[in-house]
Amino acid sequence: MSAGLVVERLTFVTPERRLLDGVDLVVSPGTAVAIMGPSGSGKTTFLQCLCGIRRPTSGRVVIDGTAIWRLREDRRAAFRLARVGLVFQFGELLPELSAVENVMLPLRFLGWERSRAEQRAHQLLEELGLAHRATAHPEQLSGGEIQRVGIARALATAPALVLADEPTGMLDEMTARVVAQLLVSIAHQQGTIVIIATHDPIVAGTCDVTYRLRDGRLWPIAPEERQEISQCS
Amino acid sequence: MLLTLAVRLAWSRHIDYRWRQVAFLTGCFLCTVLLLGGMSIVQLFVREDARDRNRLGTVASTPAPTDLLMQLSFENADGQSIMLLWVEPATSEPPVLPPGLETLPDPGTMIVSPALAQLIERDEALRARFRVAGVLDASGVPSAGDLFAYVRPGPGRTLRGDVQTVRIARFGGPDGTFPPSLRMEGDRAFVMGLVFCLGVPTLIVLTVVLSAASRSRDRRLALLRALGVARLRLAVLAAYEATILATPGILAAAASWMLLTRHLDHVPLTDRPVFPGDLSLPLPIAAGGALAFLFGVFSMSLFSTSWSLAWSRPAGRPSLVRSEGRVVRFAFPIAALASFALSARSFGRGQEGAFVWFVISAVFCMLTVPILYEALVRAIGALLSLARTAEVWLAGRQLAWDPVRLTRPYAALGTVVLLGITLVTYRALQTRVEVTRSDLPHGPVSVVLLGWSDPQPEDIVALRSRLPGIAVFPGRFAEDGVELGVTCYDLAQQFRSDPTLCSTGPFTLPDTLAQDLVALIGGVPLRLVPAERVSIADAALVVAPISIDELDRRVADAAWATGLVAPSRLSLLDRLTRLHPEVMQWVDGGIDTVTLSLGIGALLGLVDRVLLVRWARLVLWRIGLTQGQRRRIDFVQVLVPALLVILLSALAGIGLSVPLSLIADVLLPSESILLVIALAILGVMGTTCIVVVLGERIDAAVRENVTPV
Repeated sequence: MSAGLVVERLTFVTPERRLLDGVDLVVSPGTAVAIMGPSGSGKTTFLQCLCGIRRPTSGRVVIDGTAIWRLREDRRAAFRLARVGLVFQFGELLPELSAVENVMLPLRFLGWERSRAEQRAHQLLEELGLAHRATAHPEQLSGGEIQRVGIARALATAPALVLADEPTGMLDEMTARVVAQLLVSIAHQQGTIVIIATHDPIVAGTCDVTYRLRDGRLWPIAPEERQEISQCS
Repeated sequence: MLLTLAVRLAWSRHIDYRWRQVAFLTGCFLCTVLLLGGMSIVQLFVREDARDRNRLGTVASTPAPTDLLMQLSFENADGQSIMLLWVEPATSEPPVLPPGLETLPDPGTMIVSPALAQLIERDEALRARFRVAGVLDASGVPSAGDLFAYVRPGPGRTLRGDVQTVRIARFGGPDGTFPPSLRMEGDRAFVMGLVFCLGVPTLIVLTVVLSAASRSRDRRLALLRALGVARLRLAVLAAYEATILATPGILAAAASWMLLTRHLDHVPLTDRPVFPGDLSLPLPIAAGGALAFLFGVFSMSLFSTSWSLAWSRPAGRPSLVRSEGRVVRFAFPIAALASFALSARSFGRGQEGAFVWFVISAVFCMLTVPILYEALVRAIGALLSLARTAEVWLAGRQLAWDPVRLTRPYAALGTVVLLGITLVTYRALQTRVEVTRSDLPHGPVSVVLLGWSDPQPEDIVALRSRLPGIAVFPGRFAEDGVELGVTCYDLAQQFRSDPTLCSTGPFTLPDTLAQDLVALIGGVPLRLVPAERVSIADAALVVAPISIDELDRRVADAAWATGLVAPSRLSLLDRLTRLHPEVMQWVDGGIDTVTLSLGIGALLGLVDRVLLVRWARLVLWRIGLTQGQRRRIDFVQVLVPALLVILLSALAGIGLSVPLSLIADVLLPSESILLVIALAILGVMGTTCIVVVLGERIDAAVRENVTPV
């Protein structure tokens, strides 16, 4: 059973077009990967196929040795809860829960005791500089704070894979850079695979590897080219 | 500009707005039908009262050749009372005629109301007794269900000279007094109270409709607010949008109701018959009603949007928005208690306003339940969020966060339960049977006292010949009771009594026998006299060792076959409690209407709720909650508040019913109340399953399009 992420010949076809056309990708633990591409290029679909939300037309996704599309719906959901963390563009926190409760959410559903889950959530919020905002509700948080709570929620279960879909899309440049660096540092410190779908070159520039999704395939971007794009932007 | 924007907002193709369009169409259609239905009932009563007044005759102050002689008697059939109006011209000149009658019926025949014609068709005994010559047209019958007939005495019989005969000079005058009205003022007040109570379900359905997909609309309004649009302009925009959405449903309902009422022969959802067209509304009134409703939608939307914009922050916590209305929260329960106290006081003093106060207290109580419910759900939600189980914890947090939106459908359910319990108690009060057949005294014989007008010497002989094997003693009505031409011995023999009872003389009624007779025919004083003194009898005491029902039927058949004028019978059967079918029809219709309208309201609210929580459910699915976990959250979120509202409204309903039953001295219909509660719980169980399944279906559809609103 190999650790890391293995994607083989991943294809996703819609009646109109071929969004993913035999994508292959191997990512080792502790690596931050950026997937770039213009809107509609299939970045979100690719992430959704990786985490078991959208079934690909063909191909294989193996996370930590588990071929997720061989699992049944509920097992796949349970796998996602335990092993995959998702960070969304709008944070997508539940408005009725405070910041700490949002972070506790996956832990509670994994069967953690309330006090233990709360302790872990507080610890994560502290690491992300949000200890003072723990009891605030999403409507009381800024965009950057919401996104950081979302990241804390994604990391709560110490997942093998964190998928972030345009996590900085709604943030200003400074906050975007902070959030991107945070995600990359998590990958490095915790040995987690972080995959970020973005069209922001600054975010892409902070990652270890960058791919461009074009014509349904992933094309690696050389470090020099990345630097160039980053400087142009 | 605002109007154009409102049109575009109203007819948006977004899925939430599609749902808002459907909810508005359905809900406004229903509310308009309820409103116009209430107006039609008022219109029905106005028409019936007008016809009833036209039917009343003015007693002649001085005799005139065109006077009509009239006398009144009653017949019973199928537990219902039939009014018989005996008519005869005073002279050979054509008399004045009541409306609906072109000529008087021929001697010995009758012209009957349409409802009586139908009853006669069904009832073999009535068919044998009554010679029907025609059916009155609607202009002469106040209500389609009225049972009455104009009867002409048979050949050789007359109404002249009888003390009970009245001379009628004209019909339809303002001073008409005869015959007594068939309308009962108490019934009218009750029905109007019931119609007034229907305002509450209408208001609840309208609230549910106005709130359909409101979160999407609120987001758009918040966006416009952020762009700098003034609060008042936003409220007007929201009101325009609601009015535009409401218009098709209101127009469709008004048109359908106008078309339907031309042909209706019953008040919908009741057994109350009406003449076709009686429920129809004149166009200006219907248009006025529809416009008033449209204005109501505009005003409610304007008010609610101004209120929420004034108190909430753009993306504020929903439950905090309402907490500012604490005055309203306390005002309704206090008003309910105060009006109920006034009602109880008026009941105790026998004052007329008691029922009105009771209706007012019931209305306030119905308005109180949703307000208390919201606070209770928030408290229960907070309690649930302390649970160890993750599903219960999350459901509790969500309930405590937004109790108004999440529980809106159940407020309708609560009103159904509250009204249901109150109405079944009122029904029990109206249908209480104080005396049943089994309560009647069982003696060795049954007795009927028959009386009639225009007595003829051969009447008793004719009656005896038609009642073989049955003792018929002649009698005569005197000022102080009835004189019976029979000896004590003959009477005692019929009663299987000891002849020694009559030791005081043949024409002295012994106390024991007198008591037996009082028990059998009521408190009419009887005196025994020699038979010769009753040469022309206008009464007869009929005694036979058969059941009272059988004897009553045979006496009635014999009386009608003999051609007696205005025959009336006194017997044990008069003690039986007669039901009050008119009120029952309205009560049953009220229960059906409330259940149906609030059922539809609850359904709209449930669908709205499912759509409302779909994004939260989508997030949970994406995070990795299994179907079982999401289903358990749903069950807790639906079942707990639903059972809570049943409990709360059942308590409120019983709270209204217990004093009502104590005042009216009837037993609380506990079985019916339990049935209402059980049906509500069963309904909730079924609805919960529907909500969960519908939620899962919508989840599946939403997953295909995961772009947030």
